[in-house]
Amino acid sequence: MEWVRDAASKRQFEGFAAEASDTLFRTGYLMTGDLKDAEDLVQETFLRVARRWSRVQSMDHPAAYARRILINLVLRDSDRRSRQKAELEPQGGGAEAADQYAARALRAVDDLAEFQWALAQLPARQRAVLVLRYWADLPVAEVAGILGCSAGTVKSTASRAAARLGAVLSSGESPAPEPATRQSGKEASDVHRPA
Amino acid sequence: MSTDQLEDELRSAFTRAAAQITVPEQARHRLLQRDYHPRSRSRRHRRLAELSIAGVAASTVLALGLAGVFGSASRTPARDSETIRTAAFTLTKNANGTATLTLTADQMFNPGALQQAMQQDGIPALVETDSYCSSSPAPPGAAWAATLSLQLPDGTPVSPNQPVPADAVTVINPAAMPAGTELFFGYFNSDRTLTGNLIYTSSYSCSSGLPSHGAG
Repeated sequence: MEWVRDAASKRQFEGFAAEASDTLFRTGYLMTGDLKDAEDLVQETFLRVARRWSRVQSMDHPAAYARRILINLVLRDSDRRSRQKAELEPQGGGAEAADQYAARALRAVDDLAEFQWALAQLPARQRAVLVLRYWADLPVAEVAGILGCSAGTVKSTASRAAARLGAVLSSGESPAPEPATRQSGKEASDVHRPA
Repeated sequence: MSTDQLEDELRSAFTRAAAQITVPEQARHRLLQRDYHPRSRSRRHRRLAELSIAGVAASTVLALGLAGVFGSASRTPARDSETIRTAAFTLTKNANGTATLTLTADQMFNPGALQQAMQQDGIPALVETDSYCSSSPAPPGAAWAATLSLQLPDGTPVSPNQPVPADAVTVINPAAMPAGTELFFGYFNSDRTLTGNLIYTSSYSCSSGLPSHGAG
């Protein structure tokens, strides 16, 4: 395992971190809806990138590599909490009507809190597909590579996620129960913490 | 409704939402100032392996906490004391040879700065983040207790087994440290907790994870 060692390499890593931190933070926040969780995710991502920096720095897009780590940290955490993978199963029917419904709801949303709340109602993998496809603006094939699934699964998941997002935004209520997402609160510890 | 239209709406909604996400300045500062590379841990691990220390002893752990100690940090140092002050901590060298360490809540902890400040005060110390180091066998508990203690501002000792009062400070007595030992401080970012321990310089090991509270 290689760590950031020499001064020049360390400076390069610091430059990368300064450039990537805000985007990674926003990605983490969109995925978790929690500022502290987003910060923890970026920190863990930087630690992992630092361990492999000698290889990462020669990549065409180190930030994309970091984003991939961050997304997978969220998904790993989500998977640990719930082994349900049903949201990635292909599903058909009613797509056209759902799309119209979702588009109207998306046009109406104008508030981060509302959007973030609706996003948080989705399973982590659906959220990841939407974040990667429509915020990071990645092609289907790249999203499939990050999530380890087929392009078809990404497309069907994105479609269902969009419909679900639209339904949540329109109704203002949670949809049917979904696998748990990353918890925003930290468990109490018996050690003392700053106030 | 075409798929393209829906995708455009999604991109637009994400763009509007993301534009409203403000990265907190403190979070950005913590993220960018953190040291993401460890110091010479592998060398120390090799040294431990060469010594082939046998036997396992319960390590003595002190959860220092050191939270919310703003009042203590602002105390005027004694006339003949020396103080090293940073945003995150204050290290005051007292007239009787002890040193008082105070951490400031919600300030980014820089392990390198604390280790350097300790060295300037003649206190051999190893400071790490998200890592806990201990020796096996551990230095005698009496030596540890004499070296590292928690006190209230009026000098009243705080037991390591009781909750750490908000205004407690850590008092270090270098004179009580047995030869060949150094202080270890481990700061855990996830819990914002500082732990303290006494270790043998030539034989110790480190692991991630927060140790349990109290003397073990």
